[in-house]
Amino acid sequence: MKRHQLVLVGLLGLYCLITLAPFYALVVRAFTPTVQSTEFHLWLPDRRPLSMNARLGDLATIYSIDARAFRQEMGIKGYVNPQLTLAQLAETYELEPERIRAWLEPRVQYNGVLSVMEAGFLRSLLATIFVTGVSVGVGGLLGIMTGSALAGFRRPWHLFTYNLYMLNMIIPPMMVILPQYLIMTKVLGLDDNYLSVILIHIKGGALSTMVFTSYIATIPKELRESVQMDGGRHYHYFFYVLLPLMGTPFAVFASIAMPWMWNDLLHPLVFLSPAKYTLPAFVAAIGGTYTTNYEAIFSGLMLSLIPILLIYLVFQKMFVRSAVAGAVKG
Amino acid sequence: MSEVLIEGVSKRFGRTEVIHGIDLRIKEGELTVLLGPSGCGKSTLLRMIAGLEDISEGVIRIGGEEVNDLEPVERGCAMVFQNYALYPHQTVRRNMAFPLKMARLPRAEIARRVAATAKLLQLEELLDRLPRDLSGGQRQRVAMGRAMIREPKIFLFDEPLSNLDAELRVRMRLEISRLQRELLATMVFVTHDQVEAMTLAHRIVIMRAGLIEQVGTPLEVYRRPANRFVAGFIGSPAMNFIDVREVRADATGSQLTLGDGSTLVAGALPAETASVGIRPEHIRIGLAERASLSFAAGQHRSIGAEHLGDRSYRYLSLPFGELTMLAPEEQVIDETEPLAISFDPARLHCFAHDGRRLERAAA
Amino acid sequence: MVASSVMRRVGMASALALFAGGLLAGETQAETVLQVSATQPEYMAQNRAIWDLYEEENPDVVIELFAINEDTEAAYQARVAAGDPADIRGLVFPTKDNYQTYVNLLEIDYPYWDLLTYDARNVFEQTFGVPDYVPALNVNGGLFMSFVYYADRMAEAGLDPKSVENVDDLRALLADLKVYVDSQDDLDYVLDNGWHPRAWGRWILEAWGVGLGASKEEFRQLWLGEIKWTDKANNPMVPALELVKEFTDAGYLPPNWWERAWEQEYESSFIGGRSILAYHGPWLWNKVLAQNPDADLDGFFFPANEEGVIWQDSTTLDRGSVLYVANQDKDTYEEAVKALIWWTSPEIVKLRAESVGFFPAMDLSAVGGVDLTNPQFVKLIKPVMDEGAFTFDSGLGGQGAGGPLQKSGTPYVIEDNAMASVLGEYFGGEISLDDLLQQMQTRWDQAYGS
Repeated sequence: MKRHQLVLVGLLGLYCLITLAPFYALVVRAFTPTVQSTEFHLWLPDRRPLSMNARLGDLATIYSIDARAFRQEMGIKGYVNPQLTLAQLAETYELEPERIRAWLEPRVQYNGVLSVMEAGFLRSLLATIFVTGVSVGVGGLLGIMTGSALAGFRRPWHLFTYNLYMLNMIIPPMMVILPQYLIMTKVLGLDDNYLSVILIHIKGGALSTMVFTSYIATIPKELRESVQMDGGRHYHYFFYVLLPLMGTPFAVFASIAMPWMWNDLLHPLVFLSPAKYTLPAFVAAIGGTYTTNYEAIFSGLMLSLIPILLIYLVFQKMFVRSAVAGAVKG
Repeated sequence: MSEVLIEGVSKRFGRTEVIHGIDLRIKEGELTVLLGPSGCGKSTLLRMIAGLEDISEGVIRIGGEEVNDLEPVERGCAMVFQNYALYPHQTVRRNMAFPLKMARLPRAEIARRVAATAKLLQLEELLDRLPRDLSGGQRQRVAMGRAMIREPKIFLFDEPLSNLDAELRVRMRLEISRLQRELLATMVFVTHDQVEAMTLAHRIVIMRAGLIEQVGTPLEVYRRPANRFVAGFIGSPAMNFIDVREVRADATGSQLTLGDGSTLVAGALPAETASVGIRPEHIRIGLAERASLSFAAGQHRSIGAEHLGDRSYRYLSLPFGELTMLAPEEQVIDETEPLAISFDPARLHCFAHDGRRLERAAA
Repeated sequence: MVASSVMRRVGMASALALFAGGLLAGETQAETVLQVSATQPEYMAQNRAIWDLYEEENPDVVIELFAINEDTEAAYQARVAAGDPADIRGLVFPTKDNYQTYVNLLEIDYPYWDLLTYDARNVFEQTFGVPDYVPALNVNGGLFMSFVYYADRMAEAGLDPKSVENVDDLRALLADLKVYVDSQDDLDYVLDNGWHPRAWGRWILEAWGVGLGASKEEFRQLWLGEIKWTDKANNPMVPALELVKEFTDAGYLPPNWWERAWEQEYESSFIGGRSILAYHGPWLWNKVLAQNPDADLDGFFFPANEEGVIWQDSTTLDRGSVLYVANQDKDTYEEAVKALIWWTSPEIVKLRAESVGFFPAMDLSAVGGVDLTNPQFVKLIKPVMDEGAFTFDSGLGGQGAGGPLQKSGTPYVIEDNAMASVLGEYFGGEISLDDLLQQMQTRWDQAYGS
């Protein structure tokens, strides 16, 4: 290899390292006890073993341990004072200390990941996939329909409508959250319903309108006329000709909109109840007022990154195609 | 019956009228070419026949039936577009089958007709390819196949050859001619290329600015252009026009006073002749013909030449204007020598002030 | 071809998602569902255990307990503004700008007014000048600020913090501790601290001021404008400010401590063992013991003043629980009132206080008194109370008393993140005490002056 090639490879390696380092740090953090979270760790730090002098309430507060599940698991009926230490609990309720330890130890050892899982990560993940999937799918379809109507701006009102959509883009979501909330809950009756978040995601999509309108404008109008000449209706054109051509703009739309929908925090927080939170809201709700389980938060962030990374890997080809679309069109 | 009758048809886009009350009869089994410069309305007229554009005024009849309010498919027309408009993600087979699928033909019938059409157009090898894997000529043939497969009454071509290179264009022209003869189809062909029009057409419709200037066979429009516009538009290089200041008739014929005051003697010409036209190929060097013009050394100047091989077009600057003529390659025109040119007065076209053709009295 | 396979993949994903959504949509149906926010997000489990009792007693009622933290507060406020708040919210700090959102609890039949150890019915008038209105019901007694230390390490250093009786003892302790800290590799700070607007603006400076000889009454006068902030001789906060500067200059407090984040830097360094002495409220004890249950923690108060008075935070409506006016017409309102009364009844206040370790602002003798086992109470407050040598002043603090004068939307004088750098300029020696007092006076004039 020549010297400038070596330098280039070196620089690329450095770039990869810089890009990947935060992910690595995040993984380490997801397994770093909150008490050590102020220090920088290159590898998972050791942690103290579970002490029987720990108080159940403190464990619940600091490690987000589900005291209710603990009571059920230990077969304790009725109210338990959370200020009791584990040793006192074992004595009062005649429990084997080892049994207590066996249940709590892993929850302390892998506190972040386990508390996130037990707080309903999977349910939240499914909700996120559902909301994002439907939003991208329906939003894309609506965008294609809007785009096919507006493409080329053949009438004056087309441009006007298009501008209205664009206007939508500059309105800060926080500004319209109240009227939106009122419409969703009072008019549409979508209180605590995924549909409300989906509707917000797909309403007047400026991005989808922009992407599809401009792309569809590049499709020769002869294709539509040809379908017409061949005896097809508009929906034949839409399904046989237009839709199959939408792979590229759909990839553009999805690759921009999907992370945004996936990471939407505000709307799920406002429209959904905690049991239905999507991932960002779920992770945000882990924090406390005076005490924060950073280990759980980082674990939540890490776990919620994995699915979207997977999605990107699965659809990578499509996204790359969207990037080179301009070059190979024809 | 697939005669197309156009009666008083106008087209308006908003307030702009682009076609002004046209009457035209397109005969069954003929290839009719709509020819004209861009913006003359020829494509719009074609699209009105196809049903892709509304008819603002007037009536179009196909086979005697008014089609103004019929869908394209109900008119029995098929169209080949300039960019072929093949469905990009469908194979050649599915592209050709598409019109039949829309017509809900049985599968076996569709397969049979695709096979037959592919054979006719020599597309059998390409049936499972995608349009993007085809050459321009192949795409053109697929587009034709898709148009033919429904066995339409009328084929409409919208400048279908303009995306091809010169050699392919000649071949496709022949191919279209062959198909037309074999199918005995009624075809309407839009182009701005007069060579295409001359070589293909049974009948040429020359349009300008939303009006028909002349309808006729290729030779008719070449030999007897209805006006100065047609005369200038047909033929390449274009016909020479010489302005006439005065026509004086005497027993021997007419004496024309040209723009520079020189005179030209020709056979009897109409008195209101305002200009005369002569095609470059009808001018000779020397005094071989009856009508002639002589120029002293220094009065004429060569401003260019186009060599065709054995002959070449010469562009001359003369006292009354510029003139193009076809001369043998070996013919030398020396600016320092006097020059004489001549032509048969019968080849002269006479035009009135408004450009209308003036017929000469029978000689 | 690629496009259609992509579309198919997207389609399949959507179908899967739809299916999943169907699974998620199942919902428990009960007669009444009450949405209740936890008193603090970190006390979800403790609160849950108690609300479980309520659900047992009232099988028709489901308590949906949820948490509101900094990140989710804005979204919750949007719900409130849209007229759809939770049925009961805990940890509310009512002010004269927002109290009308909350139901006047004088209008519900709350049977335990007389058991509350503070003037709950009038405290809102005293703190905000709004008469005959109780927007929130608070059963948390004022908190105690104290020094907290690792007793084993102090013994190792040969120091006995419990023997501190006056400010000079404190100085001596800190001086000795600094020598020890400097000799130890694992220790970075002598007296650990960081910036928290409420801790400094409302608690620490007033607590130290009281210990240094002032009374809460003087602080009330300061905030009511009867003593000028610039009146160096009479401003009760001045000795505290000077002591903090002295401790900063001496290197006892961490360098630039006003720039250290309260939780991420200050608390973490104490919990992580990089310091062995801190000054804090009750939570730090629990946080340390949760991470390190075998830690040998102990504490002592800032020395009492000559009258034997030790500062305790005042008990106001802060941290109380509320009902919303917007819910009054809803079907769940009656149940919500019932649940709130239950939540603030003596039996339950006893459980609540014991479960999270707050000092109740309610006379619980009828239910056998409260048995607090949280570390700050057991190790420090209870012995001092039992000894009876000192009195705790939980009277209204200066900032609370100044409430009725404060103009709507203006910042407090010190409880404001903007003040960290201003105080830092004084403690860092960039401006004089007079300059600092002048700035405080200006801020007071703008927010409280007529």
